[in-house]
Amino acid sequence: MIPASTRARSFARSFFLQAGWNYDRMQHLGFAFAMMPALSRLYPEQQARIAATRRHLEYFNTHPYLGSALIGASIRLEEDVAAGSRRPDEVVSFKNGIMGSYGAIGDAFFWAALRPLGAVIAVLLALLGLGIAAPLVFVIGYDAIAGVVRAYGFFRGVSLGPMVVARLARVGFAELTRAIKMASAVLAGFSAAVWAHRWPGLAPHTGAMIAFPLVVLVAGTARRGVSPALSATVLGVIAALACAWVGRG
Amino acid sequence: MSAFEPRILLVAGAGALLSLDRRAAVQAMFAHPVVAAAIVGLLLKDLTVGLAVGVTLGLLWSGSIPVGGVVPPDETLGAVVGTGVAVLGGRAAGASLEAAVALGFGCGVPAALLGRRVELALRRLNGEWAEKVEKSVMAGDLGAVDRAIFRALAAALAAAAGAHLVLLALAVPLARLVVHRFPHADAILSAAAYPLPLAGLGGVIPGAGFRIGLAWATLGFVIGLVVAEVLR
Repeated sequence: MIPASTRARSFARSFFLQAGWNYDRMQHLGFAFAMMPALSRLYPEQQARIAATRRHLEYFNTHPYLGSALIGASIRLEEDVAAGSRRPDEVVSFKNGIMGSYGAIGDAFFWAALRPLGAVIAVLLALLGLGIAAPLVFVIGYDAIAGVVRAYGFFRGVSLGPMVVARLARVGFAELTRAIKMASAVLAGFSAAVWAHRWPGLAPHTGAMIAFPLVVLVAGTARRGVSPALSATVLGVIAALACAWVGRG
Repeated sequence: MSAFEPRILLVAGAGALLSLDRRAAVQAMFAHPVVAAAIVGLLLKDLTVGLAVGVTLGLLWSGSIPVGGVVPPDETLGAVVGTGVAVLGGRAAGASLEAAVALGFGCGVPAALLGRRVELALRRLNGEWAEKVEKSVMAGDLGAVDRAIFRALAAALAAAAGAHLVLLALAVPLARLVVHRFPHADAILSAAAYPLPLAGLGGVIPGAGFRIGLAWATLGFVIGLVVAEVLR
């Protein structure tokens, strides 16, 4: 059994999963880095430790938060390998079997849904004049969720091994992702209305008549692959030219 | 025109640390433009500008996610440079809040696109080091893994510090020049600032599916109008 202090060190190192990201084997360096404290403890003999380290230097890529569960479960599997109750290739097979689906789930839930929702909430709070509370609510709320997923995944992974995958599946990430994306759209519309009301020099109703069509226009172009950054630049230039033209008149 | 603005060093240092959170370490959203811009605004004692730049740049790339080997624009670099320019180049030179934000946007977007190049170079560099790690481990040097991670973190920190420093050193005097030399620029830049956050908000909608997202956004907009009217 790996002591709690070693588990804690591996968990802390799991926050650097992407530090050595490269195009050849992606997160393999970060994965091996997180495994090192456990491998040092499990394999006192040098050749066995080298072989175990090389197992974790193979190609690896997943979502960094859900990757914690795979690191935890791999530590449990390495315990079994060291005890002689599993073959070494079972560790590699487990990682290869799960990393792709965890990558897809994590990207959809955290990067494409929760992160934009947190940002829209922060934008709305900033527009409502709540100052520093805007980014604080974002960071605290987001990290509470991400932190629980990381810690639960890692420590349950160490205790349950591959069974942690079934435990995390109960969360229902796909349903949550859909709900969060809809909430983001509602809040984006809400924020546009607040922005339209707050702009100096424009009557609120005039602002509203301009704001929402612009939001819809950008949404439509973004759907066709045009970056909102490019749309913002074009709209800003048009607004500047219109101002310059009115000023000349 | 003053020479070098010393507060650029403070912003570049903070930006480099915040950039680590973007990919190399933790990923706790301190590198998100809404948060990074607010932190830089606080450091420069102008939170209002920091929040305004964060609102403007914060959602522009929310649809660009780092799936697999995809490297999105470096929003952190964009937000930090944008806020630095807005405060040190815009507000410090007498620009209005809106004009300063437009200047920050004008420098932040190209900075984010340039930052993507830096990130690509770092990932290639990591690949070169990773090959050596495998050989070292085979030779019995197990500490090579730890050293490779520390080296990658140091490289990411140094590259981010350099990128922030160079871009701020170029953009801040340029922004000051625009504000000082062109008296009408303030009104024009202020007008340009109006649609900028709306583009970011529009970019969020297709995530839910275009038609469904539009329906929910319309509902939100109507509720927002009512609430804003009441609050007014």
